Amino acid sequence: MLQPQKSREQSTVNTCLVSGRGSGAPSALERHRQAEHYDGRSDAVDFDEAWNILRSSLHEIHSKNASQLSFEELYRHAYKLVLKKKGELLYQKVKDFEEDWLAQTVQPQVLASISPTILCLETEAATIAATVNEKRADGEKLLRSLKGAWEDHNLCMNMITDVLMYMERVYCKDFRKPSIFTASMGQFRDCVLRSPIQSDHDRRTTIGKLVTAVILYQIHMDREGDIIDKALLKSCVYMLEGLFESEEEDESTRLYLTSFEEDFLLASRAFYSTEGSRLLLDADAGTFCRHARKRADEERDRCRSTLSPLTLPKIKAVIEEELIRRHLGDVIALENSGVRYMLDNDLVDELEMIYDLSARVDSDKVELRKAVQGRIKQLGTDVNHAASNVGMSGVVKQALPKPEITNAETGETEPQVKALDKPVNQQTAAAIQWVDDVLRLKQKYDLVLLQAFQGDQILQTAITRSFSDFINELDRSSEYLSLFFDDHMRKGIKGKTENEVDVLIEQGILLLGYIQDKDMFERYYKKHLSKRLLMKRSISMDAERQMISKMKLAVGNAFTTRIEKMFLDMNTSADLTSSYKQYVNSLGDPDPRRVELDVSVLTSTVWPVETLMTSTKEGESRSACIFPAGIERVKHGFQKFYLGKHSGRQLTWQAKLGTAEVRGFFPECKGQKKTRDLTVSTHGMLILLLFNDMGKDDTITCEEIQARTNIPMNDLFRNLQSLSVAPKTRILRKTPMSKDVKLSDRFSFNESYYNPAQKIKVLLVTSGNQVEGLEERSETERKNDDERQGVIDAALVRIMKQRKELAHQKLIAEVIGQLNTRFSPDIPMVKKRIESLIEREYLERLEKEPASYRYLA
Amino acid sequence: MGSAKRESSGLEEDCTREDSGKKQRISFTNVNMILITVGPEKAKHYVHSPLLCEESGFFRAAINSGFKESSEQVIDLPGEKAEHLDNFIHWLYREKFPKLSAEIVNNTEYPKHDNDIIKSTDRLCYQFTFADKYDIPRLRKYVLLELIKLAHNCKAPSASMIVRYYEATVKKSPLRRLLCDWYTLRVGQKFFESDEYQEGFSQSPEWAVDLLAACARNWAAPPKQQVVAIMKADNYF
Repeated sequence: MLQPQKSREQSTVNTCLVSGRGSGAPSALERHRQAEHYDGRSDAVDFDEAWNILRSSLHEIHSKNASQLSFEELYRHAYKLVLKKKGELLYQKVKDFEEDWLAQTVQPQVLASISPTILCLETEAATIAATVNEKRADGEKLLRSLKGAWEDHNLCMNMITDVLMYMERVYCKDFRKPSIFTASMGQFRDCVLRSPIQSDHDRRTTIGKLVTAVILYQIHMDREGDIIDKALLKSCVYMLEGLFESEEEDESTRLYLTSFEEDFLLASRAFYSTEGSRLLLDADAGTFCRHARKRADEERDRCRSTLSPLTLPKIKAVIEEELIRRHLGDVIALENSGVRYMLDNDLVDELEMIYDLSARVDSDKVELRKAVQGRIKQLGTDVNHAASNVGMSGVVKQALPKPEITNAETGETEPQVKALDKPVNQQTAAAIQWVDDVLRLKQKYDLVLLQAFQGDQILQTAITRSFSDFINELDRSSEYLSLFFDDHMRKGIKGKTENEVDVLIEQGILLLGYIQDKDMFERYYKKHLSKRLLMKRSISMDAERQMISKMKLAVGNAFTTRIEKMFLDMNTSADLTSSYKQYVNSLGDPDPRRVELDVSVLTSTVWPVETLMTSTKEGESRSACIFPAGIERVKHGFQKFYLGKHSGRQLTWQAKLGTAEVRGFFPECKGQKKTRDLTVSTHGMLILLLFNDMGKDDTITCEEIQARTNIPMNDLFRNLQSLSVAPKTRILRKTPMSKDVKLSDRFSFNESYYNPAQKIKVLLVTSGNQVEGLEERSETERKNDDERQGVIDAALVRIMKQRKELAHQKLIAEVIGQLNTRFSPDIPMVKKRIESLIEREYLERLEKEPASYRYLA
Repeated sequence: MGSAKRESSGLEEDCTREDSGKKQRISFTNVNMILITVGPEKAKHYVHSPLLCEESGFFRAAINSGFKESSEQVIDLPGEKAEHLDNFIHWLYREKFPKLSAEIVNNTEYPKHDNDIIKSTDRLCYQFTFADKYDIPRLRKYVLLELIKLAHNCKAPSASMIVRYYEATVKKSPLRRLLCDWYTLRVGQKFFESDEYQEGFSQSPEWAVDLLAACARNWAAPPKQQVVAIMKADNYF
């Protein structure tokens, strides 16, 4: 403003100076300049003349008659005015013109489109009763009128900006004025949007506020399901987005943000707050989720199609807060339709929605996690209960003093045998059932995780933890799992394809991963495996090996080495037996009555020999059984052969684990053939052989049998039971006939035994792998604890040897770290082992803080 | 129609185009020819519309903005001469001006034909105002570069020419700055006292001010005579 004026003054003064100084006649230069005046480059351009032309043209432009105007002419006039330093004046005049136009022509047009019905929208006073349709129509009328005004204004201002291009480039840039376009946008804001509505009494309502109210009302209608003109709304929003609070046009001062968005968010918050509460009362969880998701999608679409993308994150936050976060916990917990219901009824789609909603508002998905975990825990506990209830009842029955049952009458023995077997069998079945149940549960939740929770990491961890929790809550889980494997290895995998077996093994191993006390599992697995191997019960050795290799992958090398060693023993034993047979043949002993011998040499440290021998109770003499001479001879022969190969070893014969095939002749047997091939336990063979030397009706008491064979009492009872009580293999007669065997019972050979089959397997009453009784169980636990002590000792020494000195807490932590893959060590036990090591002078306690130990070499 | 969009494609874009010098690929397939008529005789020039639109803000607006020109596809420039438009179109298609009848050679230290230089300078200066008026940033740049080449070897234009171009430009115009710098390069102190300059200063005091600023900028210390000359030109009363 200042500078051009100053230079103009200078110019006039200077002209005076020249004329005063000069000779009077115009110099050549001046003549030149004067000539140029006629070219239209004169100083003396009359501003008013040019402005009049421009002004009437601006009017024409606004009246949409621009196509009659010559752009070049208007441009030239504006150019010259600027060149002659009239930019300032021109700018101001144009601005004045625009303001006038907006206030006098545009504003009344827009005001005219306002109907009284929509005035109450803003004031929220429903003074005028109008139908929804009327309100919509009237609202649209206002919006349409405003949209038209805005679009016209834009169009014209673009044209005017073109005309005034030189002014913009030179004057506005130089004097840092907002472009005429920007300035006129501000005028539109002030003269149209911010102009008060006359009919309003408190005079605070403006067109802009009314527009906001109309848009919000239309959006409300849209949310309620009415159809609205979204394109019209979008145009008006676009206008608000294009207008700014000030001429700096700072992004954050868009009118959309400053005067619309907040109202919109407030209205939305109120809307969704009520809707959320109402839905929770009326709808079930699935409906709620579906609705919430639909609303979220709607709002996203609304931001794209009707409002501005700028609002998307904000409205998203409103929905998440009002509709989702506030109610999600309640929805998840809904009694008859919540997450629990969905899980129980496999409503994958609804779970997926719940997951989706949870993920929106909470990256940790606390509520959902809790619900899922709770359900798993509950189901898991149920499964555990089912298993242990059967188990408990069985154990109780088994533990009952036996005489009570033996009181039964002779005729009823058969069912009673079953009754005795049943609880144990039931229990075993329950164990396997437990594993099946757990696997089924696991499969179900894997599916839920994959399909509904998109494999979410957090939920996966939570589910895994829940499974691990309840599995380890059942202290027999390792035993049950091993029994499950045993069952499948003995029967289950018959007729299954390799793939099916694969899947089965893999599932089992998956469970193994959850089990904390892996050493316990190893113990049971070895026990069960050894029985399978020794009694040749395994259906497929391939499957066994596959299982081991899978276990190795899943839980590590150390775990399986001892089990593998068992397989190795079996293989070497087979080799040994065949080479022994060759040796015997080479001796050329032609005796046809000679006993054939198959021997399995088991490394005592690897095989759970003790476990296998549990039936010898503490304190009972462990003296070996007495074999008849023929057998004894063969035994000696082998012993000699073996020791000749491996000197310095000791062979202990485990008659309990062996089986024998004997051929029996039953003179009173029905049918042609009077002989039967019997497969009995080694003990059973010893018992049967006694009857070879006896007459037809001779009897022998149980006590006598014991004396002559030295079979441990327990095994003797069981063998006698299976030989004389079990209905299909009643090779001996027992008097009195009762279910239980007592020392005083008498036995004789049953010459009239008949069985249509040629080969008969005499099963021991409890030959298969079964659930342990309570006593057995505590025995196993005790043994396991003993072994653990050794393992802990070893770990302690290993750590201390390396560290020399270590604080107590750190030592404990390291021990736990080292042993975690096998079992989770009991802290008091670790402390006891430390004490014990100190006593044995492996460690010494250091007198300092924190409590520490030193390794003594 | 969008206000924000329109704004961003205003001045800034011209600057970037001027700065980077990168030109978009123009397709000449099926494009309109714009008829530009010049002077009172309305001499006809046909130019490819995209080329015009790319280079010039004025032509872009004239062709697209909904005035008479855009519907008729004819632009009448009654105030221009055919020669000037020729230069422009020549540059438009070939990126340079046509030769003068005897164009000066770049390396001549003392040009033989002062007249040619004056004509050359005059033409360049005029084309600058042309480019300025019709918003052709790249042409402005081209002209300024050509003028700098001249300033290298040739004497400065006459005071009267300078006064003339001061009238056709505005304050801070690059042409003005260039002319003043050229003076400090080629004109000795003694010139300031000559009548020609005195008269020029008095006609265009803005020139005097600019020249002083240029001297202060380009000369180590402002020479006394020069200051005196300026003092004479200016009026203290």
